[in-house]
Amino acid sequence: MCVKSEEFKRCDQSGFCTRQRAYADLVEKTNTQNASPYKVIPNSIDFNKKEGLITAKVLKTANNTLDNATPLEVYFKLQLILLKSGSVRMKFEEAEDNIKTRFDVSTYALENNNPEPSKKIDTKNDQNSSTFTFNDENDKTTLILTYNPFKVEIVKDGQVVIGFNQNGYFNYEEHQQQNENDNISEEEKQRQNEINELIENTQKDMWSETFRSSTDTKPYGPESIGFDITFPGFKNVYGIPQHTSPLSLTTTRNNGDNGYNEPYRLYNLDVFEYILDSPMAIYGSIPFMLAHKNDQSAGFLFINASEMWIDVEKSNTDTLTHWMAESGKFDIIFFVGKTPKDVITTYMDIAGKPPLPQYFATAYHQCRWNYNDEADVLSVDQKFDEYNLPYDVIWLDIEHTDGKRYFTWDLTKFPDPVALQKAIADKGRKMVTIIDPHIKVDNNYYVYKEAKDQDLFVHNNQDKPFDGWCWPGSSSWVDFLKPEASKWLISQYDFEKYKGSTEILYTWIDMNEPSVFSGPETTMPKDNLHYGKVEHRDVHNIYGELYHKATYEGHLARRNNEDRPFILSRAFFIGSQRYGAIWTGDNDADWNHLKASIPMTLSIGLSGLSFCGADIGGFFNNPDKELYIRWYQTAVFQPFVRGHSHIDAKRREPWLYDDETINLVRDALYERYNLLPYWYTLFKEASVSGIPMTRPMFFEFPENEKLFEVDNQFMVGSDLLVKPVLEQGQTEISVYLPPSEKWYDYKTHKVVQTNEEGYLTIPTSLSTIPVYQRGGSIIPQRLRHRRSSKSMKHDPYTLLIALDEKNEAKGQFYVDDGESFGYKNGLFIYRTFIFANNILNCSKYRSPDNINESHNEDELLMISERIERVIIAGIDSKSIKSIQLVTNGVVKSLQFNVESDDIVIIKDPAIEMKEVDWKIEILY
Amino acid sequence: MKEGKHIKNKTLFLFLILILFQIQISYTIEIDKLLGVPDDKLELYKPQEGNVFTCLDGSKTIPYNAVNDDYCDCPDGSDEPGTSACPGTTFYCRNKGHVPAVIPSSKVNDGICDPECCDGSDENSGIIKCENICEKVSHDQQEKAMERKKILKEGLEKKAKLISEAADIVKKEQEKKKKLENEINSLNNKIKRLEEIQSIAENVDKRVKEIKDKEINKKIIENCPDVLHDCNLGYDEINTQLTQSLNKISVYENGLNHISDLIYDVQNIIDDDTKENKLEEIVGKLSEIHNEIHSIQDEVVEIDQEEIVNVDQDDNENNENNENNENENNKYYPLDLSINLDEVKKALELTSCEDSSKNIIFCIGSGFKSLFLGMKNNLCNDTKNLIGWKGWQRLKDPLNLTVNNIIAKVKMIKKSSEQNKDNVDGTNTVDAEMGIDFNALKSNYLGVKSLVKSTKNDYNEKERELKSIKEQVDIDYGPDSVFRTLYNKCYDVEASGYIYSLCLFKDANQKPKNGNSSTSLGKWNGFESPTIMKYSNGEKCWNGPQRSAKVILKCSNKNELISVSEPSKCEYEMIFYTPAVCIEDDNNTNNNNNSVKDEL
Repeated sequence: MCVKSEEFKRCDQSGFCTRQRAYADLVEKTNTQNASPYKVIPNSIDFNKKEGLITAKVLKTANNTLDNATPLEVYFKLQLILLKSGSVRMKFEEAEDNIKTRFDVSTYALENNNPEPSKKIDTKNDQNSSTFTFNDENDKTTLILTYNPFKVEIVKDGQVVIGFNQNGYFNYEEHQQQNENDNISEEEKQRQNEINELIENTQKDMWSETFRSSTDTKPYGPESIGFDITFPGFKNVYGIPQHTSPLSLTTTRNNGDNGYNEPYRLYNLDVFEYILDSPMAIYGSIPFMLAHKNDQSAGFLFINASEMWIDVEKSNTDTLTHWMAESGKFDIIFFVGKTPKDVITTYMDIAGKPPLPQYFATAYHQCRWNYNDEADVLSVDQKFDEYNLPYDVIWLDIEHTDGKRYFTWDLTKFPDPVALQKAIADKGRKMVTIIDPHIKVDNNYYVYKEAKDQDLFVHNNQDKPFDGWCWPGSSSWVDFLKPEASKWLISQYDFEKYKGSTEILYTWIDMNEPSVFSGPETTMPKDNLHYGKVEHRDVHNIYGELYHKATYEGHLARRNNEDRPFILSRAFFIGSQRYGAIWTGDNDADWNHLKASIPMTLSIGLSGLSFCGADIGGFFNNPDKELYIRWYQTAVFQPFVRGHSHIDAKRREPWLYDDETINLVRDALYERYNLLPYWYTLFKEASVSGIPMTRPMFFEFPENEKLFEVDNQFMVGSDLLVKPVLEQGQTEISVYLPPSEKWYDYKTHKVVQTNEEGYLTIPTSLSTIPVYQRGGSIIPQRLRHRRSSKSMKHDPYTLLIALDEKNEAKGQFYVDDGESFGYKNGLFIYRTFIFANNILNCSKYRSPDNINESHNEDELLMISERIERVIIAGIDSKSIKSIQLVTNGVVKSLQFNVESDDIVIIKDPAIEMKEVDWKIEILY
Repeated sequence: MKEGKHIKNKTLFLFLILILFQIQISYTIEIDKLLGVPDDKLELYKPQEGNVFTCLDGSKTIPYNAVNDDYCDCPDGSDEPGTSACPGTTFYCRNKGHVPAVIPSSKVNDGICDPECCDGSDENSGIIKCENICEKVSHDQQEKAMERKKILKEGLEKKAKLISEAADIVKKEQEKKKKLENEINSLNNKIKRLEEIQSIAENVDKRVKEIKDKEINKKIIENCPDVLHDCNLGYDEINTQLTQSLNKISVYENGLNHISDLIYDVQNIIDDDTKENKLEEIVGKLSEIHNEIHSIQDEVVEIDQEEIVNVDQDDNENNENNENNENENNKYYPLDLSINLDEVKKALELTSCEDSSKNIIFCIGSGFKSLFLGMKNNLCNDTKNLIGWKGWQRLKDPLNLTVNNIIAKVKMIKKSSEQNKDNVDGTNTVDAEMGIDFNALKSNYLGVKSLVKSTKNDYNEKERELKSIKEQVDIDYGPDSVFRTLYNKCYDVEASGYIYSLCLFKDANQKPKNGNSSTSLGKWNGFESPTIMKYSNGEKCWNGPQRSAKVILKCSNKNELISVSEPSKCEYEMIFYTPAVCIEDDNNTNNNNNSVKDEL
């Protein structure tokens, strides 16, 4: 099993990648790093202090490497916006452009396209540069704009953190008229053979490009943008998902046999049987990069939805990245922050944070291509109960439709979808159906007919509705750039319109890269036309997100904004987190795919899309018992948990394995369900701050260099460290527990002792899931076993307290109705628990979103439950005399059990979560 | 007490719900200490001295009020029989008026009325009110049980019938098998004998056929009188020749028939026990054969006298090289004008016709002239061969053999009849036992071939029959061969736009409802278990495995294919109802008869 690599482009098969890479090589070959053809015209610089806006004219003079017959002089507009957060946004474009208006994707991709500018800016000018220092006194950011060569540098604490064009790779292909005599002289070729080859390459495929049998007409000619971004002092960069590479990005050039030979590619593609450890593009693209070193973090965002290639080069101390985009706007943002969380927060303030999902969406999902018919669905549902396996959602893949006509049902298999959903709903569960963006060409299919009659489809390069091949055969694709098209799609989700849909039916959107079986690289031709004559090349990477958005809005509309949508998408882009979850696509039942799921989900998560997971068991092929168990044990600690399998794979519901497997899968699923209160609190935190629920180790331990490249263990929130067993037949595992903390075994609550370096080696039986709780944390749990998250709604809570060296701990707890937007009006409970001086204190948590908790006791009671148990680990338990609960001055003595020398369990304080300002005192 | 407060809060919550839905329901809020305790353990849940409770595993003693207080105190979870507080434990529904049920404690107060707990006791927290439906459930279940019982009774009766029918069939099959095996054995011997005779007959037959073929070729020439008109030899002459040749053949054939009659007579003489002077009669018959041979020769000579004279002198020389001559001329074909145009063209070139449009017939005629000359030569040679008894040479050996055999046999008969008269019968019956019908040989000596063929057919037919019987006999028909009568019985069911058909112990197929092309889902491949049949190695799936089907057998009072599903791609699952798997209930109160079909 292997991807058909030849069906997808390499850099040297892509015109603009070849041109831009050759340009960079030419700069290196000719040592012209400091001889950029771009120069800032000093007297054009204008500084609007109120808006934090610096504008300037940039002149590109006769290209110093290209031997063009006519010397070139082109003027550009430069904008630098200094933001309050310490970030800097930079835009650059032709001063005049009579050929094409570059597509501005920022209005779609960013939630906050006009972030607040900095008000405190000091400027200083010298002969060749302007310096701007901004933000508040304690955390100053400095921007240096160098005129000649044109260069931008961001400085923190006297050190350059991010640089633009430090390496002179900046090469902005302004729109131009096609020149018939665009060739190189013969003499020059002889004189500088090697350079000329590069020069030729810098002119490759400017006016059309053929790959395999498809030709891209490129009516607007070359318009790519290339530039270097340097991270001086940084050895590790992360992000730019979606790839299958390690978490810490690999070098792609000039590194001998190490690293990759191809740049990382960002181009949303439906890649059949994708390969691991590769820079190849797959389903999603987020041009966001995070750089981190022990005392500083930085981020970089390129707001551009065209095809993109990114080279990563590393020296012993620095990282150089070369960004190449085919078309669209030059619109970039530099982020700086002390820690990765600081950078992510500022980035997410602009890109938008994920909304709080429905409670059920955080639980376990059961999917297969396909659950065949009603009897099959009901039987699977029944079997989950029979084997006491919890699950929340059953999914229907494409076969449920009438001939892949989405929004319809195959009535021979699903004669009564409403009754079926009622049966599922009666068990407190939900259902998801798949709705893909390709619409079957069939005039008797109302969806097609409506869209066709209203001209809502993407057009081909002849400006006629585009017709391609996908699951249903000949299909057309809805053009979500057209406002009417999105509106139309939204209306399709109306319960009246989508026959057989009920309130418990949610949506899965697949193939939205878009996948076009008959298209170049299995996607849409780049010269296809969208609304406003925008070429597909300009919008490609955001197409899937626009569909995601319209679907999300369709779900909002069908319930009059009363129900939180749940939409799973495969393709994604900057900002997709605002519309739901994504998964890592069509993986394989292979140990290496299980391993890859960790860096992949972490990478996507730190790029903003934290609600993310990989198909359990692997989509293709058949996992054996061991892999199947290990995959569940890993996936229950990842944000999105779904079992899924290919139609050609064997059925793999847990009961089809042996009893041991059923029991271990059940145990794993209960790990998830028991921790749902903790997970939900993390989802809340993500919706407010953008910090992902699962985090790379260095997010929580930013100063520990040992963790910068670790991607086989991760943190769930700040307090749980997970080190899944990822090797077949593994009998022991070594876990690195950062020595700065005290660590507890999550299951036994016993303190664990590592060796001096911080390593702990433990035996791994098939039932072992190595999870550790950080000392100093309080984790809310629900320990009762139920069939679904909804059945747990009225279950009491357990607080799991693990004390640190100072015998202190703290944690948060959040809950609401799990369904509606009532939380926006205060219908929620958000608590901080602090344990110090032998007292557990509960108080209201003031969330940064500044919404006040409701004062309506009865309303809060609807979502409140009692605390039935408090477990305190790491405490001196032997000499406890008594434990008492103090509420409003009323003291109640509590029963407790001393489990061991350092563990005590307090029985049923029976205090409601809605209550505040109570305390539990441990008396000696 | 905090618990009280909690419950009060719950009450309030429920009150809100009640107002919302305006439904009046009543419920109890006190958790009964004995809630969820099975009847046989009620004793253990009574307060012990000091108002305490001992966990059932004996590990711990707790205050009695900690029983069913919605907190798990006991390590074995035994203190919470009526709540969900202890994971992994069970809850006992008394289900008064019906059979009690045990459900996992995870289903207690989870907001869902579990059908197993028809008394609704699993939901007592007020989240939801579950009606007591035990009366109805009990009634329904009794009806179901009765229905099941009825079906089981009928099923068992039918099963007994199936078994006795199977026994009959098995017995008959064994008999038939044995009979066939004997028949085949004797046919095999018969064929061997006939083949010996056939090899003799073949030699004669072959020669006759050769001559006949040549005559036929001549007849073809007859059909082209126009073309042959211009040939030097006239049509009449050829016709005469043909007639002569045909006459000769008929003489030859008649002669042979006569000879065969005589041979038959000889045989009869041998066979006839009543005849005294067998040898004399046989000698008489042999002399008749000899005379007959002479008379054929005379007759043929008479017919051909003129012809012999007319035979070219050249041909006398070429007699030895007859074959070469034929090859050289290479014109001796069945005259198919449409096919042999090339030959015609070649002939035309040879005669160098320049104006073919005018003299086409002439030219064709002169072309054929040379063709025909060659032909005539052959004809003459053949005739000469006949007359010269070259053909008889081939008949001589077998004939001598037969005569010698007869003489030897007669000698033997004579000798043995002198020694022991009983043995004569034994020897005589050999051919009768073989069943060789010499009458058939008499009516047509050459018919021996078709006799061999028909005997062989007979043999093959019997072999086939035996094979198919063996195929059926060798199958595992379950205990007591209970499925024996269902062999190759086919049942259909429609599902998802397809018609599925299952032919038991043969194969399973799928056909689109509106189409013809049938797809094999597998061929019989044995029992996976007593109630699961396997059909494997069906048509291969695109990009997938070979199709296969699992047939799950359930007890019923009739044979019926109930449903088909495809849980994994190309792996089908069929439910088949049949009395053949019905099993007597060990215990009438026990509902363990999961093999009896569920109510539809």
